[in-house]
Amino acid sequence: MRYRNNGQGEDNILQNQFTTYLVTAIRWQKIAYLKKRTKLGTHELPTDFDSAFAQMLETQGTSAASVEQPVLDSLMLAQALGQISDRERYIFFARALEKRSFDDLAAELGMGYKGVAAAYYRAVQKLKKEM
Amino acid sequence: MNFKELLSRAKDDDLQAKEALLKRYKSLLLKEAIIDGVFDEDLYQELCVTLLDCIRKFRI
Repeated sequence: MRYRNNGQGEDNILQNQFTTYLVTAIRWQKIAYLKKRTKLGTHELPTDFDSAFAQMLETQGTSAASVEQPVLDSLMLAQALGQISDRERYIFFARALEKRSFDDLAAELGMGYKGVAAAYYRAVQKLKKEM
Repeated sequence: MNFKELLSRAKDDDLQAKEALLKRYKSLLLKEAIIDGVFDEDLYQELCVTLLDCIRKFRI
């Protein structure tokens, strides 16, 4: 037999009051429980270490592929440097690594300022094309 | 047995009265223990404890 609480009479009112009281308590208990669970979740160690490590790398912006990238780049650069002429290579290194000025290099090589600058930019462009 | 009687007996640590109240509120507790469509047993257990607490603390 189903009995429906219509809110009439002392007993029904009391039951409704108790139910409201209980529902409120349940709500607070639930919030506390969920808070506790998320707190525990952040402190727990994931059991799958491989995927966790990959995830960690991903969040740091470095993946396994990007670790290899500089090595690959330097290999290609070495190959490209072999393709340009000796003079261009000399100017490129003097300018890029030793930070020497075009004036300085022009005096050393017996060339004009513009000639050295043009040779340097030509070398850079050749390197870019090779890589 | 009316509700008031049941509640006062449960307050006096009557096991049968407590059981009857738990039976009455079981569906509510089960409903509240569902999180994101998954029934959480631990939460249900916590809510049962909450019900017993409420019986103890509620002033008639």
